[in-house]
Amino acid sequence: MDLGLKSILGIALLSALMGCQDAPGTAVEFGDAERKQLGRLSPLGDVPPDPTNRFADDPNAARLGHWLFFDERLSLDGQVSCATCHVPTHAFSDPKSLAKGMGLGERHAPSLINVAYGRWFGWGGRADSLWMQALGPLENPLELGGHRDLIADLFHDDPDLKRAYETTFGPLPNESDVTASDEVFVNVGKSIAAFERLLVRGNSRFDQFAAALASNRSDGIEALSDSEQRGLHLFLTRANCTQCHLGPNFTDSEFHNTAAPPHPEGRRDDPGRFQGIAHVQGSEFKASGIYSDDRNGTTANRVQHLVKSSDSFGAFKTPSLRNLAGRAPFMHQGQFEDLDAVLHFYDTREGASVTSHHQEQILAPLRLSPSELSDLHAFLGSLEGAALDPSLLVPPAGPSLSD
Amino acid sequence: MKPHALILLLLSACGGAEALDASAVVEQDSNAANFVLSVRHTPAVMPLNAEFEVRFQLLDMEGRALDVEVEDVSVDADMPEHGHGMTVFPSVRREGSEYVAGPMLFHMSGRWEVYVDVRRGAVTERAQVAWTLD
Ligand code: HEC
Ligand code: HEC
Ligand SMILES: [Cu+2]
Repeated sequence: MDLGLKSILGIALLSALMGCQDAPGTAVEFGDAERKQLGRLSPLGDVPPDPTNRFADDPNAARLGHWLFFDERLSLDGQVSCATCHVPTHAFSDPKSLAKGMGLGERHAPSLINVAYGRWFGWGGRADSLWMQALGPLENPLELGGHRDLIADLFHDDPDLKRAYETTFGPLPNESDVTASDEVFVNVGKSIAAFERLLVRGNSRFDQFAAALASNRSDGIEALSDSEQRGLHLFLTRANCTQCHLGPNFTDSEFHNTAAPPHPEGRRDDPGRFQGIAHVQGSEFKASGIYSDDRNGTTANRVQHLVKSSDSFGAFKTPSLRNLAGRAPFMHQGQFEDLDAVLHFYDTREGASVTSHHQEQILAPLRLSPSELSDLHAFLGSLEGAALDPSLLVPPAGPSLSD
Repeated sequence: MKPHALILLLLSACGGAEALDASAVVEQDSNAANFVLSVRHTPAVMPLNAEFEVRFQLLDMEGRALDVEVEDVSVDADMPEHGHGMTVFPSVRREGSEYVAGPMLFHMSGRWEVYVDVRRGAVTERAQVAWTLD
């Protein structure tokens, strides 16, 4: 072997060794497979663009949306707003199990933190964009129960709203125009979506740990306690959680049937994704529709290619596991009061609903020890991101940035 | 062992390096051995939970392009161990000598089987390849 080759080999060996080095001081060893998974879970990164909404990142639109999110005048009885169910101090979710607006709903109102990272919206994915999603509750008789004509009237009657609208979208369409209220309605959705894109909480203690481990720094490893590190290791390995809770927001944005037992007052035969597909494909507000700003884009194409099969019956969207604190109860009917109840269900599969035909074959009882369960619980607590700007939790001074 | 093979081995000792070459081609006989499915790995590593396209050629047993219309070719994928398929169904188009199927979406890690069905007259014959995403 000549000298040149030897030195190449030497360098290769050295770099191989360095690459394998354990980060100092982890409570459990994180091997290559675990590290690879960690790289997919962290950091959260920027909110992905939404080309179907050209106002998605427009500050004027976000300000109007912020105002509308809290505006009860959009509802039929003037008493319900988005914030009625998506309570800002409750991680923009609902302390109640089943949502109650103008009437009692069939599902639990999920948290809106990091919602803009999703691919589908609603437990059954009834919408393919945030702005399309926002239009549902406005007219749903059990939620705000409003109507697009009345919403358009409101913009004509309130000079502040009219001014805010025109700053972003141009002249408010004439009411005699047949498409006027649809146009205003869609822009209301696009404004609210722009606001929702600001509800982001990343950079948790877990992210600090993952960054330290990725760069083999000891500085940052202490962001997770030993118990949290053990819980993380379980999460990635034996507990199988990353089969579905994967990617930077701890969700695959897809749908699974966990067969969680229904809430006593809840529906037993909710079709979940099965109905969600039919809804999104049939809607005039989908990404390929005339109100979309990207009718031939990825999202539009995806909707056309959805598989319609009975497999999706009773499947619900995988929720993010970031920022779980202060947003109980959990699951699509809020059937679990707290995190321990959720973990107990995954651990034992006790009460798994027998009416669902297509439960996931990968969900077998985990049978963890009590200390493993408490490690897992501890780890989930490390996913709390930096707090939101408090001004997002209350209505703004007015619908325009200049107010 | 050849020296450069040794270097490669050392570099991949941590298992961190992605093993597949971008130009890797997998050839697989169809189930009744009437045609050959030749799949090009693009992208080299199937992305987890992100849409991608799969490119392939269909050849007869002598290695010539199979005489089949694009309408008669369909593609699907399943996770046999999990008992489910993809959440999207891909369309197939033709680009020169290649067929391109998309969108494909492997939303979970684990073993995926990709099926290419070719219909000729009354007979549909399948060729399949498997990929494991970790
Ligand atoms: C009556 C209670 C209620 C009101 C009022 C309400 N929501 Fe919801 N929200 C829900 C429920 C319940 C769901 C789950 C719906 C489903 O699965 O289809 C939901 C789902 C959502 C989602 C999807 C979240 C995700 O992770 O997929 C978004 C976004 C949302 N609502 C925004 C809004 C906006 C914006 C408003 C005001 C225009 C609003 N909601 C008003 C109860 C409510
Ligand atoms: C087969 C896919 C899958 C696996 C594996 C999985 N989950 Fe889930 N998870 C889901 C789905 C889907 C839901 C929502 C179910 C529903 O609403 O009925 C959910 C809900 C949750 C919730 C409630 C969150 C909320 O906002 O309501 C928590 C917490 C949770 N999972 C934690 C875990 C943990 C911890 C593991 C590993 C032990 C795990 N999950 C494994 C798919 C999965
Ligand atoms: Cu699977």
